Amino acid sequence: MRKILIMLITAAIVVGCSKQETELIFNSTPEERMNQSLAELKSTLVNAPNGWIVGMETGTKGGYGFYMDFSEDDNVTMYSDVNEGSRSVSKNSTYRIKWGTTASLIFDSYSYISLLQDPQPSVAGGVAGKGFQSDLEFNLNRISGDSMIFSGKKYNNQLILVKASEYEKSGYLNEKFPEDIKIINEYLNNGIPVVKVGDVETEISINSDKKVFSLVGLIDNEVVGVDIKYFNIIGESIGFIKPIAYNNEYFTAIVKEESGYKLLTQSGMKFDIYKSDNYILPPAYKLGSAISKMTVPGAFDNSENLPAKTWSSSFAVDWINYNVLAKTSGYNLVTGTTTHTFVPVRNEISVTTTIFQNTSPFTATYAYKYSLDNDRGIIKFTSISAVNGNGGIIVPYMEDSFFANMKDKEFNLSYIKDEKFGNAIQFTRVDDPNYFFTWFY
Amino acid sequence: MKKIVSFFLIVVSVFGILSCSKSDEHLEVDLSKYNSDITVENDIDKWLSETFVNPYNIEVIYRLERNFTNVARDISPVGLEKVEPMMNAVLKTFLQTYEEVAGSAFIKKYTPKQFVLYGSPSYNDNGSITLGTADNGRRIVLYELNSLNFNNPNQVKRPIRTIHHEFAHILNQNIVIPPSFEQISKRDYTADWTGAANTPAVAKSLGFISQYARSSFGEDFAEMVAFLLVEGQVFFDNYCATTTIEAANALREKEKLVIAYYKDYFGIDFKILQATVQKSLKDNYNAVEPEDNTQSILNLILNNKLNNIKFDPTSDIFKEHGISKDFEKVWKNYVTAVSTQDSVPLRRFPQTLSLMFSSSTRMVLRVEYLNANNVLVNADYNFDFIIDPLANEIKFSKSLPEGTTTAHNNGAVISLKPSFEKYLLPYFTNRVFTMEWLPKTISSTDPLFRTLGGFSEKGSTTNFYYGPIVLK
Repeated sequence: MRKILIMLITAAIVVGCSKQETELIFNSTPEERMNQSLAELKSTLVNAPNGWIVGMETGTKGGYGFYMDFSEDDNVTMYSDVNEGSRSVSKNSTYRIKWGTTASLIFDSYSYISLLQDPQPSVAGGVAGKGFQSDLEFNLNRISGDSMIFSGKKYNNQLILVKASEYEKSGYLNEKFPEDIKIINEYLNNGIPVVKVGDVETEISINSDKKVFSLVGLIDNEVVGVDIKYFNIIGESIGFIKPIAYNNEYFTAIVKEESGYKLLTQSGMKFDIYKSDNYILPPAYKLGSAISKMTVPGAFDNSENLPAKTWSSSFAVDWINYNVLAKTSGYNLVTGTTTHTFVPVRNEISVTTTIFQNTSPFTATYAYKYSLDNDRGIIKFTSISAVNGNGGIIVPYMEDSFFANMKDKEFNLSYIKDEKFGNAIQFTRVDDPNYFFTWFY
Repeated sequence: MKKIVSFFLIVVSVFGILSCSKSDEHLEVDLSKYNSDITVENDIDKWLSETFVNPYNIEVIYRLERNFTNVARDISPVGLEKVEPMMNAVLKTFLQTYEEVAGSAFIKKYTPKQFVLYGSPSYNDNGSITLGTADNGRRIVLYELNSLNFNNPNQVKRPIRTIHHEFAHILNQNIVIPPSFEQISKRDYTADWTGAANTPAVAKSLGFISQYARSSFGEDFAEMVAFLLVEGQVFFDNYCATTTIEAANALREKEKLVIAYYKDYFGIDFKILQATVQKSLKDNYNAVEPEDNTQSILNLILNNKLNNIKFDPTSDIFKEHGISKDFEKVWKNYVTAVSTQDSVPLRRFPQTLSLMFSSSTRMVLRVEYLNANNVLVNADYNFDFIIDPLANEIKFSKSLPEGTTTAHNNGAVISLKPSFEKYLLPYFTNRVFTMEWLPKTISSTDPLFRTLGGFSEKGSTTNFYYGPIVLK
């Protein structure tokens, strides 16, 4: 009995006191695993032999492009498309890798990326206290292939790093970047760049101040437009912060190839970018925006070319009447160039006409009121009124001639090219297709 | 039985001891494996270690760390190129100056142990910006360093002032500000110190060294310390000399209490400290003291130190430096009128004119003249004047009734009074004068520099009255 008791107690003591070793579910302690993640991030950053091409979005402006080369000693060398200086002169600053909720990358001394975060408006034009709502501390979301995706800790903006090639690196270092930006900006800002997506011809444009890229076209007779924040990349290219969906395609960048600029999709398809003679969208969508100023030549300096070939004979009669009234109603006037400026917020066309008394020029100003029906592509002129004294002299002549055929009449709008005067919009009366005239842009 | 119990106890003990020794390999955080986020010591870090950590045990945090500032705000990091110049300024104009004057034990004990540097200002909700803060007597946070040009002494002074300001707070956190300090401007402290009503001029006229000083007596004290040390005594004296007497008195009173605070509680001679800071700013940043404006005619009059300014047309001074044409005309008209009166017995012969200042509000105009017996006598006329110290303007007016001395009686006689009233009285009472060292052609190297002065008609450079300045 005693033996049994001793054995039992002994057994109880031995079993009860033996402590189990901590079992590690992931085979190492949390700090070891943190360290591992941090080391992985740092080595990925440092081991890109040619550095990184970086795109970042901001909260209140568009995207910005950088070239970054990280070194083991916590230094990072940068170029950026932020301003003229940052495109051609590199800047050294420090970075560090720190554990937050995940491995994070912090640009912890001042550099080009700080310009967008700087709360002083005098630095880059941001809002006082907020800058462009941009981050300096980024959480790592994922590393995939040659790229890394981070998101800003405060504003949650994306930071995308893609490994650069040797050729790209030397481009940044040899001041090719500013030139590339200039060239692509000039290309996209001149004329009417378009791309055909499926069967939809689409106008494209960039706002290089706001760093926003836009696509707009008519899909199933509806105007569809999308805007995306973009950033400049060496090689006359631009990248989009997030893929931009348009007519069932997802676009990620514009790249320059030998045959010209291409719009690139996520799946690797390429669409040619080319220049169009005319806008893709109907004129009604362009009045007051892309086309906000239109002129009509006057008899003073263009009598041999007027009436214009793109005017109907009925309008030509009205126009001649107007000129006769100007000449014979007491002031002996000859009309010169008329300039129409659209002011869409007031539904108004502000007009100036140079009028000549012998050879002395005077300026007459007056205004049309109009209404625009985008869906039907129709404009209606509702009134004309003088703005200055000279306007007061010639407005009655117009009311007694061509404006009598314009007032409260609906006009169809169409693009046309006049042999003599170039690009024009033709206004054709809906109720009388034989009455039409053109203004030139 | 005993054996069994003993055996039992031994077994229990042995197992008890063995079972309690546990393997703790994975239970404690192994700090050698803990990640430190700043991994590499660069040249700046080495310099900071040698210059601040080793001698003073001061840590300098210059790489962006949100935890030392308001995390809700967007604040930019400091540029690497600004770190050493800024901390060098801290060393030269703050640490070493206190060390020199108060001893290394003092500065090592009280100095903040952490300096945190940021590149941009910290924007407050009311639109103002924060340039620096001091936390718990242990940390100083400096903002807006990226825009500093360390070759410009006035720009360097700004963060240095912030440091001295914050250090004053740290001293106050150790020993509170004497209650008498708060009483001096108690009614004029306002939380809305950034409001439009609190212009620098208003703050000055109320006896504050800066707009921010109005926010509370604690800030007032720190601002006094910072301005006195960094801007210097000449600046302060000029500041006091160009405000109202009440404001100047308040400022002087605050200055006295600041000096006493340093002496009584820390055994520091504030004036020596001030001189040391000023010397450091001069030696390291070529700071130049402002021109001493306290010895202005304005201050001589306000402080009742000016005796008289005498115009004696026969004096060499006027032969050499000339007379204002406008004034000369008035004087000649007066002399002619008095000395060529139709009635020969009434004729008198004015020789000189003096403006004699009897107080900070009264002046006696004295004409020295030869009477009918060719004896030199005086005619006196009393004037009052009002001074606008901020604009440096003085306006004379005739004081009535006239005095009753012999000289006043002389002035009232028929042979003199009408001409005085026709020429001299309107000249002095019909215009606003500014008080200046005159004529302006005298350069600072001329022995006569700041010995001659008087009154210029406001807005005119050609109409003025001047003479040798005679002090009381």
